Amino acid sequence: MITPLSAAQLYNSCDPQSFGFTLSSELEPLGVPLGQERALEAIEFGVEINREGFNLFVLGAPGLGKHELVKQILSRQEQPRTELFDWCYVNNFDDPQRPQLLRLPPGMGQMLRKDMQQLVEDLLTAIPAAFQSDDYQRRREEIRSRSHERYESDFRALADEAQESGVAMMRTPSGYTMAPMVDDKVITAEEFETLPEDQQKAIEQKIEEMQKKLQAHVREMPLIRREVSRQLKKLNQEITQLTVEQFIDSIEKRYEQQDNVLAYLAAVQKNATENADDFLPDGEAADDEQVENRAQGFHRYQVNLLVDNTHQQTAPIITEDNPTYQNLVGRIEHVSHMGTLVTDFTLIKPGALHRANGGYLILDAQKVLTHMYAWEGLKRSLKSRHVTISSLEEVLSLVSTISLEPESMPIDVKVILTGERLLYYLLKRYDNEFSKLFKVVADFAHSTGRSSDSQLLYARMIATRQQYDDLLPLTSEAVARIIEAASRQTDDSTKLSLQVDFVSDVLKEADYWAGKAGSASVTLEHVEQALEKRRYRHDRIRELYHEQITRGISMIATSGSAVAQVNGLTVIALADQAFGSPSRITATARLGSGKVIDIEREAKLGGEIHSKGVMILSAYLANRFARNRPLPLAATLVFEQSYGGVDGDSATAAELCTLLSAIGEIPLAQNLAVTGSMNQHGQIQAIGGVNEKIEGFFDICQAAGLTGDQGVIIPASNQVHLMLRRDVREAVAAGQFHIYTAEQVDDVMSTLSGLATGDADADGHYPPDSINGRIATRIETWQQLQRQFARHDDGEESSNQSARSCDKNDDGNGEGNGGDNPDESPGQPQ
Amino acid sequence: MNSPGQPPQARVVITTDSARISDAVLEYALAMAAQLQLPVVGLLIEDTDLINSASLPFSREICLFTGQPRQLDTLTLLAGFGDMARRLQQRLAQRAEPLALHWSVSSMRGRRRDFHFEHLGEADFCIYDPCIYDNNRPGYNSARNGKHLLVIDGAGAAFCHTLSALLAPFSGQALQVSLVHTSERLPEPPLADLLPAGTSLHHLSREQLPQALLQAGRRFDYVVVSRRHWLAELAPQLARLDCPLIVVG
Repeated sequence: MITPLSAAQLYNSCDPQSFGFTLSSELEPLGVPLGQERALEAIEFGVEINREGFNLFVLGAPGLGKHELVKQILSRQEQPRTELFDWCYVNNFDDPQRPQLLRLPPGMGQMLRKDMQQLVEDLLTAIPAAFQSDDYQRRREEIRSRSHERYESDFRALADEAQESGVAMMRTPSGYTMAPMVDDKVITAEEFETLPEDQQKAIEQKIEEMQKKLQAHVREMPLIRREVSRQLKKLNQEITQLTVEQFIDSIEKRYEQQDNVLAYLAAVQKNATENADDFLPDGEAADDEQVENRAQGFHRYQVNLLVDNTHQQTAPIITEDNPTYQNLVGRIEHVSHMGTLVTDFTLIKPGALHRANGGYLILDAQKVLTHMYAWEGLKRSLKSRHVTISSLEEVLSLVSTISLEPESMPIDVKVILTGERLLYYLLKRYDNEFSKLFKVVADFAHSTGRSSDSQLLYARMIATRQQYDDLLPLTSEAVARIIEAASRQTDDSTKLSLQVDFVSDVLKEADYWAGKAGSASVTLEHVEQALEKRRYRHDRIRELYHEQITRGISMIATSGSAVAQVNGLTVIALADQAFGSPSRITATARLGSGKVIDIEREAKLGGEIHSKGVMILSAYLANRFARNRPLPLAATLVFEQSYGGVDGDSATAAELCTLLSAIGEIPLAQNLAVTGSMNQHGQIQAIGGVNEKIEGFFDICQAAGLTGDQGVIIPASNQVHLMLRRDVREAVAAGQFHIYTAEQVDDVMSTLSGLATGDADADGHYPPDSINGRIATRIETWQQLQRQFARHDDGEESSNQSARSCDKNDDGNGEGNGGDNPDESPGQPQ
Repeated sequence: MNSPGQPPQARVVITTDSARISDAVLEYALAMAAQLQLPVVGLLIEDTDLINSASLPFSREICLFTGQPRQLDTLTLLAGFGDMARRLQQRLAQRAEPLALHWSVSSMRGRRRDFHFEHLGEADFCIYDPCIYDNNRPGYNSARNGKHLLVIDGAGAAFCHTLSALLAPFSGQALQVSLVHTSERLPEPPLADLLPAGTSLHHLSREQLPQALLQAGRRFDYVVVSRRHWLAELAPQLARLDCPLIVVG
């Protein structure tokens, strides 16, 4: 039995009179999100609980306002979760590759940075001044003169000694040489030859002796220079230390409570003292600007203020939109210097985890998972409660160059991941660490129940968005229409969509149309316009689909009758739109071995759920018509002119009707379309996309001309989902189109064929003119045929065996046994 | 060369036996040349004593940097002189050309300790840069404030005139000048009028002169002496000066 639905049953209207307001601006904004009580409680719990691993995963479909709600709740936190600090990286003078981390009370980081900057500028002025002092110059000259005198006097003494011995000590281009002199002149080789041999030997001996002394003296020179250098360095350090001490002392007073800063300042003092030369100008005395410029170059005394919480009164809330590995854990940048990439602690940049320390970090789970190593980096930081900055290249061992290993920073961050449901389940299933790190789940509902109370709350939610986005106020009719659209959005007349983005977009678009019309408020007309324009913008593909049908290219009949052919209904879901369209389902049936072939599946175009539906109808068929005997049927089912994939079981009822029509050769009405899944007992079950499916068939019928007998049969359980278009409702009201609900597939078959289903009598026989009677008769015919073919086949087999026996007997190799078994005689029934 | 009858063309001659002319001497010489618009000549003395020494069979050179002895032969020595001349040319080119000064480098053979006045004109300013013992020794009296000059004067108007030209590069600087008046006949020159403001003038007796010359490197930046009033007995000491010597006509 199918039930026709009235126009009123096709749509759950919202009565604007029930609201009690004229314009949405009169409504009080909604303080809490509608329908998200469970998620709200979970988020509040997750935010407030201060235990390790109680990070949040906020799950739900996009557009439910997850981010917004999380931020709203976080912004209510007036106190920081933990004590906040400034964090600075400073040079580690003992090991510059491992920059040192300083933790300071908020505001002190900036102060230290300025102090160190000022210190360098002061030292650049004060140290050169100290080195120009008369006292320093005098002491320096003393050291140099002493050493100079020492080696000069040694040389002079040597030269004098040589001269007294008649030997000249002379400078050569690269050293010294000794030569004999006569009359204060160096003798030539010829003159030397004329000297007596013993005198020559004496001269040579003397010169050799003098050369050895000279050699020893020259070898002493580096030692003298080293000693001078050492003494000068000591003097420089003494002068520098006095100067540096004065300035450091004045800084230290401000950091008396900070032991780490005091230790750092002591290291600075030691380093500056040891490297006093660095503060001396290269050329002439530097002016203020030059001092400032040079101060920039003193990287080693700079303070890299990584996290500055000077003005942070509440817990930091950081949203990282691009959660790459480096944006999360920080990075070490490099600069090009003389063609080489170099770095130091001043080039360490903070990541989101650094900035969120003591507060909250909001991340999109999908983005974290799709950025290489970002998820690993996040988990490692949460597990260890420390952020360690290391480059991705280093993590992947792609480079072997020396880089920095900054001291890791202790963190106390509450991470809030937002993502879709599937992602949460996958992480839960495949990542063992996930459950330990994200113990709180906030599950966002995508819809809420529709009642007069919830409609009013929804109206307030609309008013909240309208006021928040500074849009024109809406009339109560406009609000009611948006509520109806929200119901249609959920495909359920008793539910309201919680897709905040959808509502927000419709509001903005309606506001646009109202503004364009010069209206002071958004009326029903503007909302309709917004909805219609939205539909129109996305409607091109649907039009193309339907055009194929109306032009007869895709064959769909909307009148008459046909055997083994039913109008099924499909939904085509695209990115921005889903629409319904009829699809012709046909079947063939012949003698066979009980198989129903799903051509879609054979062609690998059918999904698993569709195959399941076909198996169910096969089982239904066998159960009804061949419980105690074989079902000698070979049938095929197909969605005609379907070239993409087909999935879902919503066409099972239509497919069964097609198959029954094919078996019983029963013509079926083509002015009706059928949708609904079914179980093995023939009960019709609910399907999805019912509104789109009905509207799809209506569009085709309307294009072909409404005859007054066209309509759609849907599962009775889908009636609550109906939120049909106005034109469909109007056609139904005018009796031009019909919507029927069905609970049993027999009722559908009966309606399509115009025949009674037919009940079995005491012997199990159906009335011959009933649907079941025709089908049973056809199956019996096939069964007889099957028996005949079986006998024929057995006869042939028996003859063959006899022939084979004869052959064998002829050969004399065995006994014949053909024809001995009466059961195998041709014509003998089995 | 000047033509007969023409007044001799004055030059600033830097005489050295090595390419290691100090920056201070070079700057001073070029500043004077620029102020007086005189050409600069680098005169490299190829020491004949050294050449003779290199020809001796047992001649050895002790390297100043390593202290190691090595064979010294004439060819190597002459090649070393050639290198020194080239380096001297490079240095002069670098410094003189930006000042648009004419410059040249020439070599001559002779004894290092001789002054080779035969190669100098009457009007030339000749600066002898001594061969110091250590390459790395500090610049002449760099720590002291203001230049200190020892002027050995035989008096005479011409010398005073020349002296004013010598002091021109120091204009505006307060100097220290120690004067040794050597002439018993002539009165002391009116140096006070020539010296820049703030200059302190000291007097040294002739008896103090040998000691002053012995310590010249530590006490003075330049020793200035007149050829006209050349004191032959001072020649050995002047030849062994360890600070630049300026000889004027």
